[in-house]
Amino acid sequence: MIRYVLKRLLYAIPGVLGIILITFILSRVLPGDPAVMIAGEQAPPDVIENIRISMGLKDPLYLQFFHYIRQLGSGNLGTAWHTGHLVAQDFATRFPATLELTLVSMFIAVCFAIPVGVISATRKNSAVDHVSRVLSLLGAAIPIFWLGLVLIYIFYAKLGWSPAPMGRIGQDINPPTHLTGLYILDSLLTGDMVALKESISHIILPAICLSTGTIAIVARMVRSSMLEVIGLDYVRTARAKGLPERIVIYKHALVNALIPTLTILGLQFGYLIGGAVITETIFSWPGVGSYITESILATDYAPIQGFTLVSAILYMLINLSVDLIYGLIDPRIRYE
Amino acid sequence: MKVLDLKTEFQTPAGVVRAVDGINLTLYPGETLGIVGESGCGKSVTSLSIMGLLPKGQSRVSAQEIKFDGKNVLAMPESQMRQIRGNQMAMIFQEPMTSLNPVFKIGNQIAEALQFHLKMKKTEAWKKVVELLRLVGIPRPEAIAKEYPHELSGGMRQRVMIAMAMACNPSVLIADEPTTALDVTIQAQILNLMRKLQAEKGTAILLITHDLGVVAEMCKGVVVMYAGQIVEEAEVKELFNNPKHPYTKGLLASLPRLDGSQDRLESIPGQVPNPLNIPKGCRFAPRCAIKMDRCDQLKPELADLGHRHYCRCLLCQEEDS
Ligand SMILES: Nc1ncnc2c1ncn2[C@@H]1O[C@H](COP(=O)(O)OP(=O)(O)OP(=O)(O)O)[C@@H](O)[C@H]1O
Ligand code: SF4
Ligand SMILES: [Mg+2]
Repeated sequence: MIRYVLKRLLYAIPGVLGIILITFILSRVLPGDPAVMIAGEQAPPDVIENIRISMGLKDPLYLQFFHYIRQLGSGNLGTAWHTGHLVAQDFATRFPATLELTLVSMFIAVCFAIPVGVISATRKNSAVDHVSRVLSLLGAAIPIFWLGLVLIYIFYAKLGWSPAPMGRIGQDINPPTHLTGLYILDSLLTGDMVALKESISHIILPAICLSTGTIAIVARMVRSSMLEVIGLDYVRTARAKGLPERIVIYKHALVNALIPTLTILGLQFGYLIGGAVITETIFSWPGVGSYITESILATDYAPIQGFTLVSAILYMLINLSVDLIYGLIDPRIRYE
Repeated sequence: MKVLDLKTEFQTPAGVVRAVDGINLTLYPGETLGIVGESGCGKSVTSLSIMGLLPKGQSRVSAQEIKFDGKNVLAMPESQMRQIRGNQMAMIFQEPMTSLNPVFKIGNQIAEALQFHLKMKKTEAWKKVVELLRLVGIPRPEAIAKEYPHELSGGMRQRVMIAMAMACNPSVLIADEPTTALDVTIQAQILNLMRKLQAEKGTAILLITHDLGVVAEMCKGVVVMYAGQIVEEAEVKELFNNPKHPYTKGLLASLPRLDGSQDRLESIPGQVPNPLNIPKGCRFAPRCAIKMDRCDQLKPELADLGHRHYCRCLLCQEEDS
């Protein structure tokens, strides 16, 4: 098992290197000149030229790439000039916000999608099934920015149930003591009930907004794999034992149906954690998604490259975890 | 257990299919009753109907009664039927390779019935599981109980299925082709095991098979099914020595003889009728070697020939009256 994990990590190295190269090239060929952005449009040409030289932008590409790799090797993702911080520092403050949002929306998605999928399968062609089919179609098709605005309009502007869509916590509230950077978890750990209530009420709308697509996809997936499993011999065996339908469905059938669903969940998780750019922008969520948008607009290379690298590694780790969870659920899987 | 006038219909896109049409069965305590017939004649549907295991939406089971332990099982609410299923009435299936859940330990799958029906505690159930596995002849039962189905061979899995079915000491065991999917040597072992358990526990067995050899070895009485109906019923000796129905005669003729007196295996020409398009008169008429003109028109009844021998053929019916 440990050997398997090490082997997978080793195999991932060429892929990660490839990604580093591609993002490096892409960020150099894209239009926009960071020197101009730093100095300002009106700056005299020799100032701009000096900045170019000091940033190494005049060096040949291969040399720039070599410097970049050497810098990465020393664990340095570079400096984001538009914030003036180290990229790693910015990530450390931004990433927990994205992670928390992703975790909560995955949680919402799983809590909804699995029961809905199971019920639509066990009552195939019933009203529940038809309604969930239509909602899934809508959920997958609704543009996120529209949904986000509608949610804000209804729950903040009209009903006033939800706080202003500005960040993770009220302006006048102290964030919980920093332990993990996840506000909900930190306020639970420190017993800070005010911060807990605040952070939950701030995260709910963006999390719902972000989870709709996942709910739609996962519910459909659970439904189709449940339909497949329900007709299998071992489910009939479970019934033949006289077990209540609840146990037959939620134990004997669902566990098997979750195996293919897990792949989709992993993909969705990787997709969401890569920064929910639109959701973060609409709700002024201070996560990596909005940070990267800013960096792109500022032609700030270092954070973009750093982000791509970090996401690639995260994606790989998620895939690895999914494969390991497979092994936990399905005893037929062996790791060599 | 007594089944009277069992009828099972399926809703299919092509119309309503009556897969079982008026079956009567009587299973005496401690005895084995065989049901034989070609593929598709409705053997599995009969057994699943009795167990109440057919998919609810697409099927309709009706009967005058399915009497078990003095109660009409068919009239029971599902919750009450569940108390009987896997407890007093258990079933073994045709396909040992797919009948066990791949993601749970074998021991846990057997323990479930014990915990649910006999309200056993976990440790107590586990002890009983090991004992059951030993009873069905599984080596190293403690270790095997902790294994998963994919780690066992087909024969071993069928033993596990038998252990599972016998867990709560059922008074009736329905075995739907328990050995069809297994090698010949394993078949004999499984049949011996069933006989041994029956002798120890006094279980009545409804043994479904398409193998008359298995019937000869295992059963006291035998029912021959054709196209959803019983065409002949008798005690095994009587049926083998004195078959009345042309279909039974055909089945017997297709058996290889041990003394080698038969040069080639005969088989019955033709195919089972399409359940959507059943012959109007005798259902066997299109394949019957001694078919008469009136066979196309008249529906033969199950005629009583005395001493538990019944036959559904116009010839027997006419002899009888
Ligand atoms: N779910 C179903 N829907 C529609 N028709 C069905 C269904 N299940 C069984 N049937 C029909 O019922 C008939 C009897 O099938 P059954 O499985 O009982 O045969 P069998 O005697 O057990 O055959 P085998 O020896 O192959 O197991 C078949 O013609 C089949 O088409
Ligand atoms: S009734 Fe006629 S067709 Fe049917 S089995 Fe008897 S002889 Fe053959
Ligand atoms: Mg069958």
